[in-house]
Amino acid sequence: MSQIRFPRPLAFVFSGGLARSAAQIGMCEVALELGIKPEIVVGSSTGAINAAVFAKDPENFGPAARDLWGGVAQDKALTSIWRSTLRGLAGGGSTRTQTMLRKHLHRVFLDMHQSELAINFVAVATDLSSGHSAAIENSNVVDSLITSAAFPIIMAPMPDGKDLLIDGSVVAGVPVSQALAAGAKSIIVFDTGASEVNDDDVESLGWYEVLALAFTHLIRGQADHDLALASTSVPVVVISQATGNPFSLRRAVDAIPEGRRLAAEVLLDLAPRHGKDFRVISKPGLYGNYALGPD
Amino acid sequence: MATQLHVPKPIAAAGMRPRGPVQLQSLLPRPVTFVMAGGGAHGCVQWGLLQALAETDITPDALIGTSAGSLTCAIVGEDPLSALSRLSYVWSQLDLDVLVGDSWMSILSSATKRRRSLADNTTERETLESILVARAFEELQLPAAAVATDLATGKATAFDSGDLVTALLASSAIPGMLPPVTINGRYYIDGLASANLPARLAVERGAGTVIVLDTGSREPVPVATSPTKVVARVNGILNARQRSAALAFASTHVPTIVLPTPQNLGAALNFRGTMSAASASYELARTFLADLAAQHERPTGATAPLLETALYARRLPYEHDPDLREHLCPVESGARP
Repeated sequence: MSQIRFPRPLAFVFSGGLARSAAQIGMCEVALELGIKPEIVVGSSTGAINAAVFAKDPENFGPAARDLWGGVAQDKALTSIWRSTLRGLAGGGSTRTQTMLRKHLHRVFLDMHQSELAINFVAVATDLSSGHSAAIENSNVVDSLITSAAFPIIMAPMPDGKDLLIDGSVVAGVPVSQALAAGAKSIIVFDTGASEVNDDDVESLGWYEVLALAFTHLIRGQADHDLALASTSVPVVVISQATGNPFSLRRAVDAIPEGRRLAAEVLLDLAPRHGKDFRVISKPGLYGNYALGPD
Repeated sequence: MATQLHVPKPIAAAGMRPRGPVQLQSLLPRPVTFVMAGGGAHGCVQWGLLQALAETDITPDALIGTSAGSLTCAIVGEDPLSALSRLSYVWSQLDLDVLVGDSWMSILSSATKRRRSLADNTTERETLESILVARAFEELQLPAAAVATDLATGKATAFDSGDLVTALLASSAIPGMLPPVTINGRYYIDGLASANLPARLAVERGAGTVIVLDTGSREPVPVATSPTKVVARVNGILNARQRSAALAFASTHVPTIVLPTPQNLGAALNFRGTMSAASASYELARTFLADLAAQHERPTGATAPLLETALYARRLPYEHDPDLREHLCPVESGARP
């Protein structure tokens, strides 16, 4: 039993964040080392990929996730985001990016169905018709991940009946409300979706990078609202990492140590005090290192 | 064959209200803030909405705007009395070439180069300096603020003092197309990335009533798989969600009045058709305001209570925020007390 206890079921929520999402490997490992285990995992976009790897075999999460991210890092067809973007713009090429990613995912999940995973896993996508999020809970794992990560331009939208689904991080970058919908009574968020960059980094941006940054700010603007809302009903612990280049897939795993450090900082702050054996985090509210805007 | 002119009829003739201005001001907790959203060429909608507001007794105590809305703010703030006439001249002349100068061919030829934006803002600055006499916020007759996005942090920032034109350039620096603008050593881009409808900022800055002058929208983009259609659709979704969250925040704190706007406009950078968009907005808004007044009318001599904290609109302006529905106080068409 962990010294830090949560109302059950506990959900681990994995945000989007492209290359930055690799930091979630470190964050999640620290939680496991402290004996904190979830009943539900929810993820958007690249976060959904980590969530699924976790749900398949929590004991082997660290090595399996490092292996998957390491494989992607060596795949030149995927690591140049700008090349993928140009391919997508040229049309048809977006299928190629999808095929490459599918290959890496298939190596891990084969033809597994979500129901065969060890833990209840929800992948979050965006419904292009309604503009609302869509929870994928009953599908082939690789299909659900390809859908959740179908970022506009870079990958083609995925048909779902008469609707089209795209990347979940567009409307649910931090899918906490989807975790609540799945029944969570407490949530730990591995948040790598921050859109801030260093002041120095904006000096040298090209026009397309300014455009991309504006777009990520527009998306990230929703996180405050979603976290504020969820934390009124259950305890929500956020471990938020804002460093690392989201576009550098080749060096994504470099973010893992910082993820570990931040997770240790946030979770040890919740450790029992005054010689108590354990502490129950039961009061609804926002815990951790995410700073909400003014209300 | 004679051409049929479309001229809005006097509203009193339609029995909508007695002669004289629509009485609403006494219902509004002060300070009354006009919130002007961004929207490129759709900014002309605000000109129509302001015409409708001019037929009421409402006067703003403060102004806040984003992008195209920040220009409307500056023009109204500079001289509320002449604003309508001046806006008509501005919108009859504004076009892409007075904003970006260069021809589109030269802009596209620079697309492959690593530069901060496709066009520069020299022409836009000249245009703004020719429209406005005031050079600083302090010279305006009404307190006004222009909202831009901090490029590094993504946070919405309201500028309300110092250099007016530079703040307007920052507020309308369309990412990718126009260059980020440096103010106090930081880079800023168009407020659309953080607060295209700055109702939340208006409340944070002390508004007692928020009157929203939005910019209307295009026909919804059909759902399709092509990259450009997906991006247009995603852009529409994100814009609606951002506006919806801002309105949900404002309408939990103060009475928030959302004037109706046309939903069938052309492209946001198409400056033709601004006149008909403004006229359509004028007609929508004046009947709305007459209906809002009628809904709160009291017998002669009785004082009507102040509007309660809620969202006053024809219908739910955006569907995305579940909170928004709870706050909606619908203003029915042709309402009578």
